Amino acid sequence: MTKNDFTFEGRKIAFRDGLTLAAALEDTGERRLRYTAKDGQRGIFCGMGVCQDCLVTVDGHPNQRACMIRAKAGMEVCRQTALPALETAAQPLETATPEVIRVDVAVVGGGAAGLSAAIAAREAGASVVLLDERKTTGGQYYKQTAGDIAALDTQQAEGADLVRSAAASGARILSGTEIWGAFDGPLLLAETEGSAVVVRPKALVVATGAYERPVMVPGWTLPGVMTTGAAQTLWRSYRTTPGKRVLICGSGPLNAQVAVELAKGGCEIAAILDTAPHPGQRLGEAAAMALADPKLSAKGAMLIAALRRRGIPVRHKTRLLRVDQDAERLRAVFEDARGRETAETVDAVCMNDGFQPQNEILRLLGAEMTYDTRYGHLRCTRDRAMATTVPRLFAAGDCAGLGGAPAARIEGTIAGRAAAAFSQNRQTVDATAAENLALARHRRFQDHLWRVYDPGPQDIDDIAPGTMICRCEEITLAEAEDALNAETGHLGTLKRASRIGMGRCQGRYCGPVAARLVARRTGRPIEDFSFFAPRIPIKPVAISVILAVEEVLGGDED
Amino acid sequence: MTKRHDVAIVGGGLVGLFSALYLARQGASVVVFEAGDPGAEASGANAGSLHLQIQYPEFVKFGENWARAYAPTLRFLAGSIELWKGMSDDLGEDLAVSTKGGIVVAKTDAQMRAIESKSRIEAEFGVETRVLGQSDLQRLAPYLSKKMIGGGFCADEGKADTLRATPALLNAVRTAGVDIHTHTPVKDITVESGGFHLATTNGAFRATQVVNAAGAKAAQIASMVGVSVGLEGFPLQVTVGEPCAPIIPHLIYSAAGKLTLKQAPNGGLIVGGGWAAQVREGGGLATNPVNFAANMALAAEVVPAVASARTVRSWTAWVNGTADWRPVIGEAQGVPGFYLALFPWVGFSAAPMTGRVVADLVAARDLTVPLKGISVLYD
Repeated sequence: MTKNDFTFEGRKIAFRDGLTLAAALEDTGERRLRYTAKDGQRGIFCGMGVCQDCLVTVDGHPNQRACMIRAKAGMEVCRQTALPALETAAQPLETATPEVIRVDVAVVGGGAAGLSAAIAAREAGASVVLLDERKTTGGQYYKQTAGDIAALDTQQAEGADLVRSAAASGARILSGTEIWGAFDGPLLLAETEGSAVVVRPKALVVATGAYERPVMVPGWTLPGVMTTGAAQTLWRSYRTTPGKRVLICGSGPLNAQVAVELAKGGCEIAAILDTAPHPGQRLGEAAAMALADPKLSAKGAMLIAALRRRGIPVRHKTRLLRVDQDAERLRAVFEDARGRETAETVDAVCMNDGFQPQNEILRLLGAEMTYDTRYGHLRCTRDRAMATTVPRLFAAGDCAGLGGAPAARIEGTIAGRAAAAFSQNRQTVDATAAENLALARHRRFQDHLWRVYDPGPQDIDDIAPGTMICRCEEITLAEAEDALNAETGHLGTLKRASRIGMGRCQGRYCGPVAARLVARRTGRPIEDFSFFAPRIPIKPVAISVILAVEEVLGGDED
Repeated sequence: MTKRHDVAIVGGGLVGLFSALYLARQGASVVVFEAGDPGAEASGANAGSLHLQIQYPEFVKFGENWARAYAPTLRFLAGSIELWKGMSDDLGEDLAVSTKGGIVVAKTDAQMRAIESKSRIEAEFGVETRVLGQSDLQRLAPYLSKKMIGGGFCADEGKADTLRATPALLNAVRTAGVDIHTHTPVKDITVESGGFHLATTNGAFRATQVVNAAGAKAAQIASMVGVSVGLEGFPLQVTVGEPCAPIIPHLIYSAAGKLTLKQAPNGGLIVGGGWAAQVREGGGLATNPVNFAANMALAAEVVPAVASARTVRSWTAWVNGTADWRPVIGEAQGVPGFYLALFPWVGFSAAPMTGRVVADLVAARDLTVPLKGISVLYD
């Protein structure tokens, strides 16, 4: 037990060094972090700064994300109310004159792709800055540990190697730095610890990864329901768990991996629900997967063996129906292929139903996207050097469309090298033959992997009308349908009429659902809607930080 | 056999829809053509201010002679705000119309002098703007920066919920029996005996009279019948902050630059004032970072507590404007039966009255607000 503590609602919370507020609070079982405008309660959901739901007031500063702030001794943390009073809020921190960074290559994202891009760009002789919104670089796949916690396994050790190589490459790494503005130029505006950073690179590599697609059911906004990745972060990075008994649902390999990890961490896994049929019914795909990447397939086989050994039940063709509050616990109700309903009482429900690329910067800068029907998300058009359709802009890894971490590393290397060449007015170097071969192999593996699982989003018909589809504005599917009935047109019209997608997360969860709703209603192809147009700020940003930028951006451009 | 209506309205923004509502209510058969979604441009993207007083930046820029030439328009805006006040009842939906007044806030003596002379001209045209010293200003609006030395308070100004206005109005217009064609650009208009022939992407239509309420695209529509209109589209941006407890009941302007600041029904701070958005290659709009930052700086200078809040979203849209700010409302010269319904810059405030007057014009009866001295078509 360390001596450090902070207070939450006046109660002392002891914490280990390096933990985020979210992890420290979860560690002590405090999971109700804020009240919504409609008297709902929220806790950790995405665990990675996307959903904007784990808001707390820290030392008088309202609306801080508990998952992005490290606990510090003496902090006074309070549950967030829906409408904080600005007059009594703490004054914004004094913002220093922002640093203007002019550099050959800027890389956004500190995961597999971003770190690889930074290393490759440095090796090609470019000056490099890497901006990562997390305090600890490594990204969501490599999830590094906080403080002095030792690496858990080879996946984390491999990530640690990559982080070390990036640091040793001479690239300047700005962690805890969140991009809120991306403009033509390119010009990036970012916030770090309440201060402003302005980046004007000659070439830009976007490697912002992906976030998890949820399973939208009544009750998915309750505290204790979180993404599988959020639960994984709690364990892998902070060595805490989301409660004793856990149910995991959705579809995809991450669910099985996290089930085993949480079980090792002492959780009882009530079940894994997967909407896909048993892999035994897709033996051909499993065999093809093994051929494409024997090593990763072996890892998968070991995972399945571990599930069996630990007696973790995997229920195939089974979907979550709803989550009810059951005193301090949650009651998860699910249905199998034959329509039989079962319920489990658990402490936490984890959900991962595939991934959504974090492509906001790419779309803001105008990069061409196409809709991938199978995965239900947008893919960024790129050439073989990872260049997008926008000059100076490169995209690597899952932000350009799901591809997995091994592919992201190669794409990052190719993009970093190409961006460096571009920034130095040299002929862009394409991928090497070996890289192309490896990429093709990883993509083949991904393709077969997602034939064993179910890569697409929930069918709208499977979402109950009373289900909240916009977490921020608390709009149900039925309310969105009402707005569509009143006026059927573009996505923007649905947004204005229903407020869906107008909240803090900027439609990152409801946007894809709303786009499918409109497409279905109008009979027009979904690519016409391109989800919600990304808006500035990419993530909510304090006006005090914008003011700091004003000085260096210069005068009126009326 | 092409369908014939009494009136065809080009443009499904607020002006077009209010015109349609009042015309249908007086018994006309009305068809509306909207190129995209209704209210998707300036009508849906504006910051929801209900403006009455002469805008301070223009007063300083163009001078007193311009202000006197423009000031008759205030009568029109005052009447329109009266209509807004009853609009929630009229349309059967709460549009969050609130008229707690608007304040131009000053921090220098020179600004105060300009507010005083502006106020005198406004008084000549029946609009009261009270000139406030520092202590009166602080009493009225204690949330304002103590650096502000005074201001001009126009009690009849306010705000309304832009997002609800179009859906509520659309519902009323449909209930009134108006035929609305969305995603239907008008490709050509020709004058024929007894009226007009309109070629649209959704077939041909005939109408006895035509109302051009096409906002930023009005000049293009007018040119189809050989009428030229000196009205242009301008790309603007607006920003909204995260919801917070009620702090600003008023509509706030700054004498230091272009600013409108108010609080939306959900508690979010809406910051605008007519800052230009960036037009990208290919015609799309994007937030201009320099103007975004400058706009926020003006807001935080006037209301320091704003700096503690976060912005959550900015958006952009084409609005329409004329060089002298005066409206273009009335029958087009040389084309009987073709009406222009264009209110630049403050079209949201003016939309209900513009619709009402258009209905008067088409019915050839006395105008609710006579347009002499107001519309450039009556000079």
